[in-house]
Amino acid sequence: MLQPLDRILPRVQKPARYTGGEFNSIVKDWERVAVKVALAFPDVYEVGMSNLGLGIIYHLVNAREGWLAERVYAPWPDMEAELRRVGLPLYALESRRPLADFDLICFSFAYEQCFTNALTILDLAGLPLRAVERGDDAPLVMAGGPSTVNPEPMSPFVDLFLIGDAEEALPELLERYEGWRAAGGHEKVEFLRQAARMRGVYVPRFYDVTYHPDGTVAAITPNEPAAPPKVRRTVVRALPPLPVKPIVPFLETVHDRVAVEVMRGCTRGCRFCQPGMATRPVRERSTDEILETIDAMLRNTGYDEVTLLSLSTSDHSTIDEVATRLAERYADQHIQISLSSLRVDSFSVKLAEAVSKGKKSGLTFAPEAGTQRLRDVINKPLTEEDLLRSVETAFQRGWNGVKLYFMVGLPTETDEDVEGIVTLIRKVHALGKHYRGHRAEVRVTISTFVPKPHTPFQWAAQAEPDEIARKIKILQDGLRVPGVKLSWHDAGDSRLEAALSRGDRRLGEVIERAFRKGARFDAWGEQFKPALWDEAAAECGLDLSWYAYRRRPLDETLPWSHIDSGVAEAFLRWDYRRSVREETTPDCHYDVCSACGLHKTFEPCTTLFNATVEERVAVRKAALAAGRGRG
Amino acid sequence: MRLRLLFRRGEAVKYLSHLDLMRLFVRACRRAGLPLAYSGGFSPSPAISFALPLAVGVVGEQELVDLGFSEDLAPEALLAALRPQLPPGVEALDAWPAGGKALTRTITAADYTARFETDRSRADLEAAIADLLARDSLILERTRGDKTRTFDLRPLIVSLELTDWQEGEAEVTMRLVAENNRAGRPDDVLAALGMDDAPAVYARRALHFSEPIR
Repeated sequence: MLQPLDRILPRVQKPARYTGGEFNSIVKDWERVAVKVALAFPDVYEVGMSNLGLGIIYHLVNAREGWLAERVYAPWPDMEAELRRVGLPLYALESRRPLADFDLICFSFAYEQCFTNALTILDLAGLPLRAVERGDDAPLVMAGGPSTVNPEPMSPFVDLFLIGDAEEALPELLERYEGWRAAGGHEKVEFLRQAARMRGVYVPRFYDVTYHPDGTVAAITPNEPAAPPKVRRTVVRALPPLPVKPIVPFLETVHDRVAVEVMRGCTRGCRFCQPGMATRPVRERSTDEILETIDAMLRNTGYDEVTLLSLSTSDHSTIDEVATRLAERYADQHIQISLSSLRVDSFSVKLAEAVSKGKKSGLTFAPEAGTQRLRDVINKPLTEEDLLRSVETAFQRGWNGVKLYFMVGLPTETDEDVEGIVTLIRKVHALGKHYRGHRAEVRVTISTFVPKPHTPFQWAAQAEPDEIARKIKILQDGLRVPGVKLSWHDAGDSRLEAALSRGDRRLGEVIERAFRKGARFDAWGEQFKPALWDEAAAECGLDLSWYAYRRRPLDETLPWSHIDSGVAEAFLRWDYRRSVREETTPDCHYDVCSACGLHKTFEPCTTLFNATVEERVAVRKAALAAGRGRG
Repeated sequence: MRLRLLFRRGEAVKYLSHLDLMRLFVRACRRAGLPLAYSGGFSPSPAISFALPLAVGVVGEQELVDLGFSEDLAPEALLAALRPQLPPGVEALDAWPAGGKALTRTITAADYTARFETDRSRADLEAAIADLLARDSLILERTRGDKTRTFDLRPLIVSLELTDWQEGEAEVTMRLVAENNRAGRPDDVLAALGMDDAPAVYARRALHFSEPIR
């Protein structure tokens, strides 16, 4: 007898995306488990399996005897068509049960262009898309992940957002859910009322949004006593131990290796960087924990590649020790070690060299802007000398190539800044030629700046496509040099990202209409259909360009102003003003505290804040005393 | 030294590709702490060689792979260490020292069964098989990427028979040539019987070699 999947899987690309059964995946006895969670990642398997957060949550939930977590990813359009053709509901990989059989469906939103895929998942599960239309017997739909710091565009579809670190908050939420069900709870709204009191929980239906005639938000007001006026992002004080038995995929995934988050949060304060602002404070893992975790993960997976992850790996306090000990330990084991997000300096080159073992592939730096002025504007105050010295060291030490990331369309950017990129790359390439001859290669990736919520640039406009195209042309013309490879992202794609990331609740309707018209995998260049989005927006009387290209006045009520990331809006405004004046803001890891807001809730930050204040007061007193003395 | 492993690839893992299966064995060996040998050079690759790639969607009952190790390893030790590291659906059946030529050089043929849904009668299917076997040649086209090439299917079919028939479902068993650079595919044979679009499941039952494999 043929199984139902045997009728469809032979007809799709990469059927192993849909079969599960990987080593270290966990299949529990359905009947003996009280809380069943489907973890849904709204992109294809190979992308979802590379997501660190979802892997952590999978093992966190499965660690409890009475709970289970299974996985589901967005089916590629060929699989979606097959599921619809035979009328098979979307199922979770472990038990192959339909999603609608689970108690909770828990989405991870890693980027905005996956929103339509989330609707595909709900639709293929046979569930109504709108939260309020799903009955009390339907699964509770939750969402977390980086993009939920502005939950508004997806708020019509989600019962409950959990904003921030999930490691402590999610188990607490599931415990409450289990208790509520055990006590005979049935009406979802009862549970939502209980949950809304928890830190990090946002229940969209408990808030009303009103708009001014010009379309901007007038007010966001709770309509339910349990719902706080401001939802505070959850923060773990210390990073919990990582699960050391990650699932080993059969397919080659995007990041097919052991990945260890060595540090969460970042204090460098790059003004365009959402994770840098919205995942503060900095929390590190110790050298021993990192080494033991990597060791266990390698033994449990059989991987031959390790990468250390963080927003700025060179800033980890003991990173040189970590790198040295890793290199020693895995010297002769065919294990490749890589470090992500390195600061632009010679220290980073030394780190990369320590772990490279002669195989010097890919050293990546992100200067982001071509002139000192613009680097000060974005608060990435590295100097040209820093960059040139770093690449020189790299070429001297045996690298043939470096990879550089820049952005165009940054606030205040002029053609001079763009020409600055050309000049800088030519200098880098000249150094390469000097040391490596014709083998020298400089790979340059240009991305379009997208203003993001909870950053000092959240009020800034995105540059329009013509402007971006013109600037890309300047780069193309200036960099027709053998040995320099230029690549860039399409500016049209980033308009959708810009609109969705700073969108309000009304965009939910646009997302749903775009989905109904066939929008899928909007982050995948060849799948992205911008015309559908414009049609959908027009039908709702909205314009995506208004969301993307409009500069917001500093006193506008932003659609995400009821979400407290920990970094205060007042600080962001202060920092934005500094940016316009081309003033940098120091990194509190090495310098004084700038009172970003974390000092109000995170004790180590409070200490630094108080020390900074005392120092300032002492300086001021001394100045006053000196002034009186003169007078 | 090389050890030869006889294994089964079952239903649970039949949708893996050849490369997926290769990765699976390398990682299982690494988890088991087995001293896999690596080729020299700038990007060393593990010494692992399958007798014949198994297509996506096909169960393999009696598959063979040669694994190279940098240290001496007893076949029993390989089996004991490897078994706990294999995902459900992959079974290590037996192992012995690999002697003689590489499997890829001595393989000659493979036996397959294909089970498919059909509303055709037993007689009708038997006639189609007889017609196909009576031909001298059957030129087909195969497209891979943007390249299309033609090949003759008929000489690749060593034997073909109807081995089961029930209302709505039938099974054929076949032996197909499986040499280094020319190998028959069971789905091509089904298509040649006029069953292009029939839902079907495939299993490779056995491999045949020109020299003893033990």
